[in-house]
Amino acid sequence: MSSAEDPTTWLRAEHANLAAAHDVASTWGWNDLASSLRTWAFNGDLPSLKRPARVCES
Amino acid sequence: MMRALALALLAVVATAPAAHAASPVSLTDGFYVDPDSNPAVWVRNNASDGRNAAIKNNISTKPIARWFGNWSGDIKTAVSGYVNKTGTKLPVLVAYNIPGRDACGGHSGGGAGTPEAYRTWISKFAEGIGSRPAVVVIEPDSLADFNCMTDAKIAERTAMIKYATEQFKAKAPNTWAYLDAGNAQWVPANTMATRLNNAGVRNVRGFSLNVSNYHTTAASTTYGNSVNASFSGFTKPYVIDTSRNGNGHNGEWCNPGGRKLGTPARTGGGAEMLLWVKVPGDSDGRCGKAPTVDAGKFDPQLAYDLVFGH
Repeated sequence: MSSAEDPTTWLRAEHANLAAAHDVASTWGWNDLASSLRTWAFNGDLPSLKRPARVCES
Repeated sequence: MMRALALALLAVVATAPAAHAASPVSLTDGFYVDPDSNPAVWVRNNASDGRNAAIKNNISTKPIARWFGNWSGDIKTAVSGYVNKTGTKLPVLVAYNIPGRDACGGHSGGGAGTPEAYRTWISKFAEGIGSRPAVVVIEPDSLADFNCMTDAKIAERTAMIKYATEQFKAKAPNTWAYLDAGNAQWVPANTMATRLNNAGVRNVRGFSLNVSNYHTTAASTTYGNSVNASFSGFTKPYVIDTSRNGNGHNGEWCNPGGRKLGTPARTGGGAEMLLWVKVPGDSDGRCGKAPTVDAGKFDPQLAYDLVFGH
């Protein structure tokens, strides 16, 4: 994927469905992001998403 | 293109069965908010009270632990009834029925009549949870108030707590149970580590700190890390009761003034979890700002003052 295409854009748009976003991130092997999304979903909050470095390695 | 693909996958995954991991956090999607907690019942029944909105917005709609003891009736029925109504949310329960309970404080005395009665009770407690995901705090203060007990009673209590850990390990596989370890300024960390080890902490997830107390999360974390450093060859996760620690400790423990709500329940935050174990607004006993309110009884003024730090 292009590093110019920031996945956090759509993740942020989908923040109401963080649990499902977690599953997407997990399926794609973005494990650090998936872990963070899982925690945010469980705690019911959405900290400002910062672009994870690992995402752009895919 | 990328966004469309992602959303398409999102839609597929969202309708697929959830993958279950071993931890109760992975099996649920947030902490359970009890609609029948003492603050919630008060809010429901006192709509016209000027304190209603503050207590509702800041306390009764937050996840708070449910305490179980000799007032709970048949314990297996009570516990199973509670965990079975929590849906996809994670309930936090407190087992508070050890014989000789609150030996030093004296405000919450009681508990099961005999060690054998306690063993039956805690076994049924664990059975009541069964395979449901849950968090359990085992017997607040029970390993800290040894100063008011004889050596024989200490040994007896330690054996009971160890039995409790064995019950949760055997009968509640999706429960994270935490042995209570008092608070940051009660028992030296190395002494508490020995007590926890003797009481079977290795059988359960970890230990709990600051239950019903006021020490800051930072002070509790420092203490928890010291306890962990005192174990031999292992460490354990710990949870912290942040229900009333927003302004820290002022040297008093029994309905002191000027205290404030702390961080609501969450995973992480410096410990494995921060929890509201003590119910904000429930009295510590007939003392401090609530000299006529029995321990465990809800007082709206106590709750209201915790919202604003009065």
